[in-house]
Amino acid sequence: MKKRKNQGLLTVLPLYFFTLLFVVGPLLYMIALSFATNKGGYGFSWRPTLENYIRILEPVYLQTFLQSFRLALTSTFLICLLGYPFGYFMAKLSGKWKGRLMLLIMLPFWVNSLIRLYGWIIIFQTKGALNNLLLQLGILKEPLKLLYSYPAIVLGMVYALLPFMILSVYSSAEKLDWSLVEAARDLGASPFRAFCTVTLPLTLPGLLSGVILSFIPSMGLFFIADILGGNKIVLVGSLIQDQMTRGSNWPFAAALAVVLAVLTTLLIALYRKLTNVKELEGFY
Amino acid sequence: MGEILLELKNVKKAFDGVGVLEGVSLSIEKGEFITFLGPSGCGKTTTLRIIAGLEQPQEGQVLLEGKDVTALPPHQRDVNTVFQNYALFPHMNVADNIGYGLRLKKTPKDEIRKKVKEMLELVQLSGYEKRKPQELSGGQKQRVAIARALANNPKILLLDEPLGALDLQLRRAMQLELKRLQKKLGITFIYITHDQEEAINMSDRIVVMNEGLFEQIGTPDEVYNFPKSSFVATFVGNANIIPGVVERMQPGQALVSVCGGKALVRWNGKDLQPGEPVTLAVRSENIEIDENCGCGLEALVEEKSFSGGMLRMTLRLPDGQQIIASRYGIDANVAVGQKICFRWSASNAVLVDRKETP
Repeated sequence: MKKRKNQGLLTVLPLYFFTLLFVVGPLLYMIALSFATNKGGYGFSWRPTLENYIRILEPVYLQTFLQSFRLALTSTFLICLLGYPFGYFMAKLSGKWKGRLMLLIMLPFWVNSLIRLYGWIIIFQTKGALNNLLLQLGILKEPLKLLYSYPAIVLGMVYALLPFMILSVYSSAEKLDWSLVEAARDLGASPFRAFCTVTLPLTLPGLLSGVILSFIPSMGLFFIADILGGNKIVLVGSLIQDQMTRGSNWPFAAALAVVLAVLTTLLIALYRKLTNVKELEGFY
Repeated sequence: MGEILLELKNVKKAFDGVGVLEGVSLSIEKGEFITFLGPSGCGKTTTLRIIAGLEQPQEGQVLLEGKDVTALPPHQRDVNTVFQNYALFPHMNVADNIGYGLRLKKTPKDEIRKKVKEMLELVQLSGYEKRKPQELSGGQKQRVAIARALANNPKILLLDEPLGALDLQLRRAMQLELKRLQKKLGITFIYITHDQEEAINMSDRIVVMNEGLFEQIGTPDEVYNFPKSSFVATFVGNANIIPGVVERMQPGQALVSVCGGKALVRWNGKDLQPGEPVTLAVRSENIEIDENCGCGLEALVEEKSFSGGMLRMTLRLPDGQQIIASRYGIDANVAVGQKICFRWSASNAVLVDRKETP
C-alpha cells in the first residue's frame, strides 16, 4: 500500500513542480513586485510601499477599470447570446454535420489572431469592403465610420472569444441525456418550459465555463482594443501593457494586474454562487 | 366489453424511409393491463412513443377517449411514461422529481407536498423526499420514476421495459408490485417488454409484435396455448415448428404426416384437404420421450443441457430436422447419441400460420 502511495506521488510530482515554477512562482513575484517602489527607467527597489495601490484609486485609473468591466460584460453577454444557441444546436446535429461545424469553428485558430484582426480592419475601415458594399447597394449615402469605436472593440472581442463559448456549451449539451427533456415534455412541460427547467439547468456548467473563458480574456486582450479601438479606449489590459513598456513602471503594472486578478476571481466566485453550479465544464 | 380508452387506427411510421410500424390497429379498454411483447426492433417502443406523443405517425390515427390526439404534443396528453432509463432529473431531489408535473400545473405547494408524500407511500419509499436520484439504487429509481408518472393522474401509464435494468429477483418483486399498483389505482397500463414470462405474469392482454406488425392480440392463455403464427409459438412458448402434410380429418383433430411418421393435431376449423401442407407448433415441454422406443417418431439425442430446472434435449430426426424437448429434473435416463422415440398428444399440437381462424 505504502509503495503504491509513493508511486502516485512520484507521478504527480513533475506536475507540482511545473505548476510551482510557472504559475505560483510568477504570481508570487507579481504580488511582491506590486509592493515595490518604482525608480523609473525599468528600475525598482524592494522597499515596500502601498503607493502603487493608492495610485489605482485615482479617477483616471478607476475609470479604466470601470470601462474594462463594462466592455467585458457587454462582450460576454453577447457571446452568451450567440454562443449558447450555437453550441446547443450543434450538439443536436447528426455526427457528420457536427464534424463539419467543428472544423469551421477551429479553422480560424490556425491563423494568427493579429492577422485575423487586420482582416476586420479591411472590412470595416471607412473605404473598406462593408462600406463599399452598402454604398453600391444604395443602402448608404455616405460611408459609415465603423472602426476605432466601442462597438468595433466589442465586435472584435465577440469574434475572438465566441468559439470558447460555443465549444464549452457544446460539450455540456452533448452530454445531456435528451430523454430527460422528453420526460419533461411527457410530464406536461411545453417546449419552452422544458428548456427552462431541464435543458438550461443541466447545460449551465457549460455556459458558466464559457462565461469565464470569455470574461477573463476580454478584460485583458489589449491588442483587440488597440487595433480595433485605435487606442482611443484604454482598457486595463492596455494600461498594464503600457505601464510595463512605455510607462516603464513595473511595480504599478503589477499592482494593476493583482487588482484585476482579484476582481475577476471575486466576480467569478459571485457568479458561481448565484448560479449554484458545483462543477464547471472542463474545470476542476 | 368495457369502455374503450385508447384506439390506434392503422398507424404507420417509418424512419428515414425504413418502415418501423406497418399499419397497426388496436383498441384498449379502461383499466386494462396490456403488454406489447416482441423482440428488440419490432416497433414496440415506437408504438409507445406514438401514444405518448413523442413521435408522430406518418399515417393513421390515435384516439384517446374518442378524441383524435394524433397531432397533439406530449404535454397536452393525459398520458405519462416511465422511461426505460428512468430519466429522473439529476438536478432535482426525489420530491421535486415527483412534483414536477404538478408544479407545471401551478398546483398549490401544500397540495404538491401532500401528493408527493402519498406517491412515495404508494411506491414504498416514504422519507426519501430529499434524496438525489444519484443516491438511489436501480430499484428505488424505478419506483421514483413510477411515482413521478403517476403523480399527474394520467389516464394511461406507459411503461417502456421498466424492469429491464434490474436483477432477476428484483424484477420478480417489481412485477408483482406493479400489478398490485395497477389493480389498486385502476389506471390503464401499457407495458413494453421482450420477456415472455413478464408479459404472461402481468397482462390482461398481450400484443405480440414482430417486424412492425401485431402478430396476435389476446389473453396470456390464448397467446400461449393457441398461438396463431409460428413466430408467436416460438417467441412466447419456445415451441418447435414442424412442417407436415394433412392425411385425413377426424372430429376436432387432423391426422398429419410429419417427420417421417404420423401425428395428430388439434383442429376445430373447417375441414382440411388431404395433401394440404400445414405448420405445427408443439412446445418443447409437450414432447414426450420414450427411451425404450415403443411407439412414436424416431430420433437421435444430439445434445443435453440443464437450465431453469428443465433438462433440454436436442433431438435430430433422420431427415435432419431438429426438435427441442424438455422436461423437469436433471436427468432423463437418456444419453447423448441414444436412439429414442418421441410423440405428443393431439391437444398439445396447434396448427399455425393459417389465413382463416379456427
